[in-house]
Amino acid sequence: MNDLPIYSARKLQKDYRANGLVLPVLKGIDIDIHRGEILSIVGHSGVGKSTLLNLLGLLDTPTSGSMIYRGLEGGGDVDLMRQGLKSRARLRNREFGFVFQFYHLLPDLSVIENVLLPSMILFGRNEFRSRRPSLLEKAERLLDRVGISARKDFAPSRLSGGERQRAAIARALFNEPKVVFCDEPTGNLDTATGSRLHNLILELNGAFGVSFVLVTHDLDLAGLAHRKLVMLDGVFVS
Amino acid sequence: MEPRQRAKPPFLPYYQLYLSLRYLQSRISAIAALLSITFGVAVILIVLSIMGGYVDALKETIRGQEAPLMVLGLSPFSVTRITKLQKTIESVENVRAATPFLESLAMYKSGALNPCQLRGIDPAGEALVSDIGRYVLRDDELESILADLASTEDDAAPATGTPGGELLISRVEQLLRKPERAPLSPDELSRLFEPSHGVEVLRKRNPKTLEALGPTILPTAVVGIHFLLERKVFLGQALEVGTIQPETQKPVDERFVVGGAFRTGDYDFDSKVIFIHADVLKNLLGLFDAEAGSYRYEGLRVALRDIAAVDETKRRISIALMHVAPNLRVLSWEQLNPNRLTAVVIEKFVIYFLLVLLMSFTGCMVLLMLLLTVIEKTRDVGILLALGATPGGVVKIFLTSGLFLIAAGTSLGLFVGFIFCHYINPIHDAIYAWTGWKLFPPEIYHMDRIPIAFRASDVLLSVAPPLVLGFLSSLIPAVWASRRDPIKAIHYE
Repeated sequence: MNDLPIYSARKLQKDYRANGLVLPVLKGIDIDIHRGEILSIVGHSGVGKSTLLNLLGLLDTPTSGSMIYRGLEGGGDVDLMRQGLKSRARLRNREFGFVFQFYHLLPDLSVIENVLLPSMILFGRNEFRSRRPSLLEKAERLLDRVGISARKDFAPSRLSGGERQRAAIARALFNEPKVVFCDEPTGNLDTATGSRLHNLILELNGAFGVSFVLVTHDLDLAGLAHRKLVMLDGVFVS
Repeated sequence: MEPRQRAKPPFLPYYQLYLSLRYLQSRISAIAALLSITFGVAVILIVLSIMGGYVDALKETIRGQEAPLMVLGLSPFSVTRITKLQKTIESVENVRAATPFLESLAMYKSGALNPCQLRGIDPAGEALVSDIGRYVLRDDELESILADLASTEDDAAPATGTPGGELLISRVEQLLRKPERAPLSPDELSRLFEPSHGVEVLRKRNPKTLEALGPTILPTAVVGIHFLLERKVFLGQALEVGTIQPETQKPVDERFVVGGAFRTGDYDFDSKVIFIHADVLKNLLGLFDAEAGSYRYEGLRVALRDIAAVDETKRRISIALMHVAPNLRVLSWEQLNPNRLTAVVIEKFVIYFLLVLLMSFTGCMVLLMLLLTVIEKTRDVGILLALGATPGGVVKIFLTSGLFLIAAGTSLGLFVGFIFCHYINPIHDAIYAWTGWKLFPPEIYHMDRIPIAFRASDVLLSVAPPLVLGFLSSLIPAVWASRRDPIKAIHYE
């Protein structure tokens, strides 16, 4: 683990407004994510874990605070607060990966098409077509790695929950991101399946050196992390 | 996964086209929207082509029946000194020929009394001023048609108004429209009205009457084809025709030999008009003006060398006639038939407007289908945004879906429209043979076949509404989809 974190956020605040009332959800969060680490964030429901993950994953914008990303090739600090729509979309596509509690595979696409989706977004029509063989090979390798290569042409609806989450992890890793944000990745799985997924995350972290940020209720999963942060009422308590 | 830092994102990322087509596949609503566009475009094209064809056919038949210019007196049968007028008019620049004509309403007796219109023509002159040579059938052509008529099942029934009759009419049409068919020459037309031709027809078709007539020779009448096909009269019949003399109001009658037939395509004309020689009609109507020492005519038909200069020539004739006969009017055929043409043109645009209104329902269908797709795919939108798609990219997915539907529907609609128009008469005949229901009754539309004309402007008018409405109908849901909050979209149930 390097000393300089690849992702640093300072004094992150997020307020929601409803019926003229201001509801502060995050109250000045400081967080660093180091290269190759597994970081878990635990806490009760409604304390702001998912909100924090959405902010870090650039799905939402904070009310105030700063977010610096240092993972780009060639180094340098990227002030994430100053990025436009397209630039944020590019960072989500290239630098970050997402794994959701409910898998969120596209039902109209097969498993392998779902895994290829980040590269379909990255490349234009001609470039995708010219790279197609190598991309397919890479997707198959990844599916093999997560243990569902036999199901690559299946529709997501024909997969079990654990298999769907494995496909979602393969998709998150496809564009070789630096950080994968996982929102309750085992929240919808039984204990045994969840436990197999824990091992997979550990294994992939070791193999690819990707940082994982896990928001979870699952204390077993949180226990696997290199670091654990506990959140209470919009702030970290440990 | 090199290169990490891309200079520019791709103009059309692969997922947009891929997903837009995937979202259309296996969706019944997409097929329904596609069919409705196809149907709408085809209907507009078919209607515009028929209306355009109708206007063209109307112009053509009017041109065939009438000369481009007519010189008329202020009251009926008031034009005298016809030869002098004829010379004066023919001396005007761009005039090819001028010929006198007479018309009179009459009744003919064939079983019952039926109304008709007698047209007295100078056959050789008429051939120069109108398309009569193209419409009158030669003896052998008429014989072959009548042989077919005789072979239709029920000899007593009228042939038109039955499927067999429709086929006969299309045979007459084909016969007259053969590119290699030369129009009847002025000489051929003159011969048709000669007494010897009437005798010949009587000998072949009605020898008993010929015998009964003895030394009497009847003048020839050339009737519209529907007189024969509807079995109102037969070839070689001694047809009794009565009319009233305009001056004395005395009823007069004359017998004619039905010696030929013509077909202009105007049902009304082809079932009402009988051509006879002008000399016969002017004597029948008692039009000799003792004071002027010449016969009185209805007017003169004038043919032009260059039809485009009709207005200029009309003006020149008026000037030329001013010194000879100031009481004459010069009218173009469009002036003589203004209502028929403008009515059809107005009707065409009213129908077009109504069809475009109907087409807006198709637009609504595309809108609804895409809105449903957007609602159904809300979570997909959230996932795509999370995976790095831009809101603009999401717009393109749904816009491409809509545009693809419209492009496919419009192309299919044009294809179906063209095919339908091409086979419209056989289709019409088949429907009639099957159901006995005539969709295009000639009695109403004055045409015995459905006319079709393709114009680039009509094709444009057919594709414009779906393209414009379809684009708007696709843009609204596409923009709506792109405005969805990714976090809410991901958690959308």
